[in-house]
Amino acid sequence: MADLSPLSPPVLPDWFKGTALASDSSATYQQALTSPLRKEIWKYTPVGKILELSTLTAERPTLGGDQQDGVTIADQPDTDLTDIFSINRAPEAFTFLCQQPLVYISVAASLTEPLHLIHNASSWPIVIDVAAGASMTLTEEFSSDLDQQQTIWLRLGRDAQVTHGRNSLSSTPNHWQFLSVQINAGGHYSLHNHAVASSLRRQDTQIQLCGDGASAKLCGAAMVPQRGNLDQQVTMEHLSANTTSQQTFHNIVADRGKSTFNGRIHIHAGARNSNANLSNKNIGLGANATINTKPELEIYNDDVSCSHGATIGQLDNDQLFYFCSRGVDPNAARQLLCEGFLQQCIGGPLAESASSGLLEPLHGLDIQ
Amino acid sequence: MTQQSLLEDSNLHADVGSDADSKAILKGLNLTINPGEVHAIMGPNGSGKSTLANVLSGRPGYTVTQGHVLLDQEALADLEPHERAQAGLFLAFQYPVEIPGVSNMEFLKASMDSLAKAHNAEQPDAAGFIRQVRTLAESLDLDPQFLKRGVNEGFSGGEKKRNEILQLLLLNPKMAILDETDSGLDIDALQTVAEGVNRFRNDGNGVLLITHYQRLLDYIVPDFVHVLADGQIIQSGDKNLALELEAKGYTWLT
Repeated sequence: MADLSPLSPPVLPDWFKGTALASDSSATYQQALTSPLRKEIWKYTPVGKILELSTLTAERPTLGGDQQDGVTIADQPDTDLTDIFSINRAPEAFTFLCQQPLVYISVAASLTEPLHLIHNASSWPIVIDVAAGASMTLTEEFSSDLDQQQTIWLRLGRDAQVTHGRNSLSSTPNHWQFLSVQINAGGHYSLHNHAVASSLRRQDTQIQLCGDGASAKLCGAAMVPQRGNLDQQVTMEHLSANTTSQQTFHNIVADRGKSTFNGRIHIHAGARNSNANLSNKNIGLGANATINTKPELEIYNDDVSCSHGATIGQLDNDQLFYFCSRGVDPNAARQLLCEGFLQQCIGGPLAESASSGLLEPLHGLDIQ
Repeated sequence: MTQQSLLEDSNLHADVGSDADSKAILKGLNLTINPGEVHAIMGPNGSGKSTLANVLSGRPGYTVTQGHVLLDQEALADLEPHERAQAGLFLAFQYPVEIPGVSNMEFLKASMDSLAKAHNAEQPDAAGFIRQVRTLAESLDLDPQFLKRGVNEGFSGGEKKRNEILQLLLLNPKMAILDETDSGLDIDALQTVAEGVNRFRNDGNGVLLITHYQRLLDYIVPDFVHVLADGQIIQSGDKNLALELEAKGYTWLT
């Protein structure tokens, strides 16, 4: 049973005071800590372990592309951001937000160059606020092998477009990555999430499709080497009409590796004509690979089109035989099939380094 | 001097399925293919045609219970499927498999590299290889764009079969088995496929065509036609046997 003991109530930073959220933060906070949803998302990873990470010294991440027109960096927001910090969805991340300095990145116009985030350790909470109609590419990479955590809050204004590539390939022993994305009307967010599991890599991804016609596409490719542990918790909330989401996650788990995928799609009452689909496919490479997967649909609207599915299996024997029938030895064929399985979900601005980083742990594995 | 056969099946018996519920399909099949020969095997549904192709290529799930097969004087029973391919055997699949995520080009390169390695030959250089494959694709009316797509992914039936022929021409085996390569093809695709097989044929290699219909044999003229029924070859002849089968069906033989 996960340790769900309450955190200390957050003390709101100055820039938060006077906002709507400030008045009832304490009650909301207590409610969030005891919600059944919270129990569910901490079922496979002890929350205590993650909270320990939030006590590590954090620092400003290295930024690239921050000097271009349209980008402004500040220590606090010049606008009310309270609607994007959802205490009830993420009390742990919210606590951290209140304890640390903030990196506030405002993107006022479409960017010609990508904005690069390089985390050298635990990072201060980061808010990226993308103005209406702006489009940008965001990349995120990790340079350190120390325990660390990051919390990122992203807001897309009306018709804004963000393509986000994230390569979590470092061998950081314990790593928590929290990502919250709020997408307003007509906005589109696309995530290319590539991960190699370490002792514990926990990824919380919370997407809110807030405005009419907002859409999100998440693609994930992950490799869990022997003794690695990857826990991915994805929540896709359709809060408005005509919203669309598409999620595809492919994970390979080596013998004695462990992966957990919990993908929840929540269609709220007003989100008519929504379209959501989710697919999580897993390949286990040994008798002692552990794979937990739970696609979940919660629908409060009749006028929707949703599909979800998860598979856990081994490499396809017909594909293997096809390779062998062309002279490729079975071990090499299995390698190529694993690569192909991951390659289907590799893309975006960091695709090239993702391929080499994800496929590297496969080499030398005796795949059965 | 006695000519050495390319493929020799002697009293071949084979089962399909696991031990508990295996079923005998091939029941004493004899067949010899010499270099330069094209043999066609025809027969009713369930006679064992595809089983023969699968047994020869070493597909898991098929067990040889009696008899033996020699490929260029080498016992096939001793070889794994990839070793059979390296020894010069090629199977054009009845249902080519889709492999999303692995591009056709990668697949072909892996195959070529494996064969080169097995023969201690130099691996083809990347640029020359790509040119060769593109030229072959064009000659088979395949859009070279397809080389970037996943292996057979989203291909039409005809494109999949043409892709098999592309592989045949690229890998250039000693012995090619074509398992109902004509099924599901329109006339134009059939002619393209047949033209590819004819291009492959030479005095040194052999072809075993497995087919239901005589039509393919209008375009690939066989040296021998065999009728397979209940796991045995019950009749052999020249190309005229196929015409006779087309006119009369199989019942007069069985």
